[in-house]
Order: sequence, then C-alpha cells, then structure tokens
Amino acid sequence: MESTMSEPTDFEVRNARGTIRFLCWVVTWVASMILVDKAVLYGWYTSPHISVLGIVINAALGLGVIRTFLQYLRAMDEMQRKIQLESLALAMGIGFVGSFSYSLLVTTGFIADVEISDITLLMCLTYMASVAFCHYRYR
Amino acid sequence: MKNRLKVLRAERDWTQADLASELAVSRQTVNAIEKGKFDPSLPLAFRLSRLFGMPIEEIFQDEKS
Repeated sequence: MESTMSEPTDFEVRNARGTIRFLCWVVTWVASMILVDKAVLYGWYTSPHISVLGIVINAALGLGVIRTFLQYLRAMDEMQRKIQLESLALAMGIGFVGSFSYSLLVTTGFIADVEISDITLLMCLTYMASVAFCHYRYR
Repeated sequence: MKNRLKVLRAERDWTQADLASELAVSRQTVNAIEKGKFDPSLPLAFRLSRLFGMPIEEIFQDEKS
C-alpha cells in the first residue's frame, strides 16, 4: 500500500479515537463484571441490595458498550462496515452452531454442564480472527 | 470491476492519503478499490466522479462488458 508512512488522515484519527473509546468501554464493562462476580463469590457485599446495584451498574455499562459500538460502526467507511458485517455474521453463526452443538454434547452426556461464557469467548475470538483476516484480505 | 483510479490519482499527483481525505474514507479503502478488491457503493462512485470531473463509466469499467 502506498503512503503508509505519511501522516494519518482526519478520518483515520477519528477512527482510531473511536476504537480507543470502544475499547475503554469494553475494558470498564469487563472489569465491572469481574468485580461483581468476585464480590458475590467472596461475600464482599453486606446486603443483597448492593449485589443488585452492582449487577445494574454492570448492565448499564454493557448498554454503554453497545451504544459506543453502534457509534463506532456509524463512523466507519463502507469497506470497514463490510468487514464488520462479515465478522459479526460469522461470530453469530459460530455462536449459534456452537451453542446447539454444546447443548447436544450436554444432552448426550459428553459434557457435564453448560458454560455460557465458553460460547461468548468463542464468538469473541471468531469475531477478532475474522476482523484480522478481512483486514489482511483487503490490504 | 476494473477502474482507473490509480492512473487518475497519479495524473493529479495525489497520494492515497490525499484521495482518502477528499472522500472521507480510510487509505485501506482507497487501496482496496484501486486494486479491485472492493467495489465502492454508488454514492462513493458519484463522489469520485465529482472529484475527478468525469462520468462514473470513465472511472469504472465492468469486466464482463
């Protein structure tokens, strides 16, 4: 690609800011989820009301992640949106197929219990791998 | 779809970054269009047409025709 060493364009600067903003939201949301989880596990909460408050705050941060991701998508150009569409479709498809296969494995007794986090992790990894692959493909 | 984007850009002595700035897209997108890896939408094709001052069919050619 030509001119890769030149100054980033305004669009790319806005894009990079959007990425950082989105990642900050994701990190905050994940941190709050870990905090709520550990607090319940180790009994840090003095009352159930505080537990519920922790969960509500975590959910609110999650909604913030969704809102930021939508803003991030809207600020992208059409090829970047196409990359996101393909990656999200693949992640959702893998999530669907994976979860049904997973539940069948539980039904047949190969796996003892269902862990939703495993499916979520599989979807996230698929999404990230697909975004990386698409960027490579459109290089 | 073939296109003359690289030639038209070179004639004007523009870099991919210059063109990307004018179109408000990323350099990766300009590069992918130039290489024929990505076909732009009609609104983006019209923006290119206005920018280069020529009809869309003089910039893009259908490989099947």
